[in-house]
Amino acid sequence: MIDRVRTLLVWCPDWPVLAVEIVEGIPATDPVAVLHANRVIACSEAARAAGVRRGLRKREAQSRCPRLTVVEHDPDRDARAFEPVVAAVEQVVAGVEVVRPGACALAARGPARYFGGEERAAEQIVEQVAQAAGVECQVGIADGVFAAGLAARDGRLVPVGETARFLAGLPVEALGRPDLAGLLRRLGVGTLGAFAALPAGDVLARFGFDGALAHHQAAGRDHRPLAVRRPPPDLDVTETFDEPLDRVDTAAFVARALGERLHATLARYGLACTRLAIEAVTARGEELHRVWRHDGLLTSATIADRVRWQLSGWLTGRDRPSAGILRLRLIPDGVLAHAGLQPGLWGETGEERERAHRAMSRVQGILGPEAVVTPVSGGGRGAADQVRMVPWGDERVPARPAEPPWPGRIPPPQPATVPAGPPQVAVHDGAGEAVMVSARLAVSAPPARVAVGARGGAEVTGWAGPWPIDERWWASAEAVRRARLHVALSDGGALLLSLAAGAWTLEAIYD
Amino acid sequence: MTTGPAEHVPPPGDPTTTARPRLTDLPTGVTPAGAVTARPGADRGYPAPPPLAELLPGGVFRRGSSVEILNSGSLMLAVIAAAIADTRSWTAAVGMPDLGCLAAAEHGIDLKRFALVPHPGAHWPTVVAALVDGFDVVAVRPPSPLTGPEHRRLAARVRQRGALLIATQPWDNPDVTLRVTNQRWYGLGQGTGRLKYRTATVTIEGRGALNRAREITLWMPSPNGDPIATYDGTGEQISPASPAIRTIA
Repeated sequence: MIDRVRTLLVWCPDWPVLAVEIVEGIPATDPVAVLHANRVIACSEAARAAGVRRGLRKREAQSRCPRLTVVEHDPDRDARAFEPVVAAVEQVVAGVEVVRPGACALAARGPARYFGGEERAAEQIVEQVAQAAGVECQVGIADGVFAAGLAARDGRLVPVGETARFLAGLPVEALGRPDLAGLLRRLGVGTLGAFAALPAGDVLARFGFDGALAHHQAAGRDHRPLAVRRPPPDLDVTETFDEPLDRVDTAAFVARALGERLHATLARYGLACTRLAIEAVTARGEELHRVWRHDGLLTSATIADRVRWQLSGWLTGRDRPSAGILRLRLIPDGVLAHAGLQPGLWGETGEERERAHRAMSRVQGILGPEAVVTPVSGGGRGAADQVRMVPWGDERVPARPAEPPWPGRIPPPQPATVPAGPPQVAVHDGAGEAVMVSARLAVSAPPARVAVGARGGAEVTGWAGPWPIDERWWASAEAVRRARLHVALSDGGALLLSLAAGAWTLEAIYD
Repeated sequence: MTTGPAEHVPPPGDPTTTARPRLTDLPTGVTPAGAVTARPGADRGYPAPPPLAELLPGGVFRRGSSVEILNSGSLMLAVIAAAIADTRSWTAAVGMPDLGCLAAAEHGIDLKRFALVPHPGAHWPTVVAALVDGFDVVAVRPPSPLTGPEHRRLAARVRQRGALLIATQPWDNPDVTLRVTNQRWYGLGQGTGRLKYRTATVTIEGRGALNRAREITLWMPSPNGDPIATYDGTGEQISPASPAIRTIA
């Protein structure tokens, strides 16, 4: 008989709820439920006390607990939030397998010997997780991952050899296979012990391979070895200089060497990075940091280029540090397995694109990555809010989707000048009174003169409007209520004016 | 409730699709034959918008020249759009935080290939020089006048790269100056209508063959929606008597 691996399993109860607290900041002490496909998959203690259970529909759960905060399930969020817990466990023991977000397993023998007993090891790990990650967890120890997982629910340490007896008393629902459990119940098999007592060959014939696996687990014969997680390799490249670095030509030399080193490090692990963070510490202790993005993979030459641009930007820029650079660190970010890059076949590539990208990277080196932007047009009604400026290299996503109809958006032709901070304008009627728009969209008098800023102003030769815009009235912080006016002036120009909260602003110039 | 203008408004569509159809609007993956073979006249310079082309020698802005475009953002966009039409060229605009990008799309400029450096700061000549290396057409609104060696260096860079530099503020010694001297919008009544189209009078002068200033009247945009078109004297309230092009002393 094969010896089962003595397994220690660290389990955080209601992990999806805790992850919501960690990531979204919704306290887990309040009634919170995490839903997937309109069914509750996890809930907080307070919600459970109010009668919320797993598997309830959203409406049922809310009727049982009206104060319930409902959050959509996000596996990525769960996994991200669990990373610090795993790191905390790894600080005291080696070889951790993440079973799922919220549970990780490790071989118990080593820690038990090191800390002097399984109980002491479990205490150490619980303490460490609470200290380092601020998360409460429970530990179970048994033979095999499956049994350890069940033991962790009660925080039990199942003695060596007692695993089969421990499992025998548990209901078949503990297998985590609802269909199989329901079937077994109808067959009159209520506990894992009764299930394990069935002949293995018959179980395989009746329930298939998955059933046979469950049968093995129920009998405490969990042979699966731990798939131990490898801690992520340290990919940073650091260089310390004896002489502070303060000249661009030396910086270029250093940049090349560092770029090649980083690339070699990444290549050793078969990785490539899409973003690069550059950190520098000067002789006076100032810290400089900047992240470079790249839409392809960073090669040795492009890494070197970016480091060189960044260093020359820092050393010759406006806010150059008061002393030379003593330490330089390159941190690869957005690391992915390098399986070769498929270049675009048509359109997206070409000599022009390469040239333009080089020039834009260069300008980013001079002014910073946010200085070069490309416009993305999306939904909206005003001249400015239909366009979002995206720093070059970032994903081109519009601020609002263009698909829903946007009634009331300004009609073509579009204005060529859209002032960024719209200046105030004075709009007067023939008698010199300020023109206002009533709640029923009637102008107080036809506009006769428009003056932008302190300038004298011009006669209005034609006007149209006012057109109302009442956006996002349901969200008081973002609500916009304004009236728009087209005016043509005696000097031939045309303006788009907008009135909000009693003040006219110049929204756009048709120049 | 939100309502649109009372006037009959063309169905709002994506600004890139309402623009004049171009070869580049073909589905990606199809390369128009014209883009594979060299464009006629591509070696001579950047094509000018059709109404202006008849005033320029060869109908193009020469490679390596600097063009001053005053008083009109849409004229600048029209020049850029014509210069890079049917190519894969990229365009950059420096120091224009208030450029209407929807208007750019309406003129037919692909926003994916349009880079903006809205706030170049005091380093703007360096920024423009760096962009000239990578972009065929660079538009700039100089935050401060550029003179002396810096100007000469930049002009030499533009000439050497064969780029087209467009300045929207007075520029020292430009090859071509375009200036909107007179304009008139149509479509507005007293509380009715909306802005629809306009006529603009553009003065063009420059060096060499352009040393005599000439004046041309254009649609910008035209009644049938073209961002820029030759003035044909149609449209309301327009006397068809005045010739489109005049030479002024």
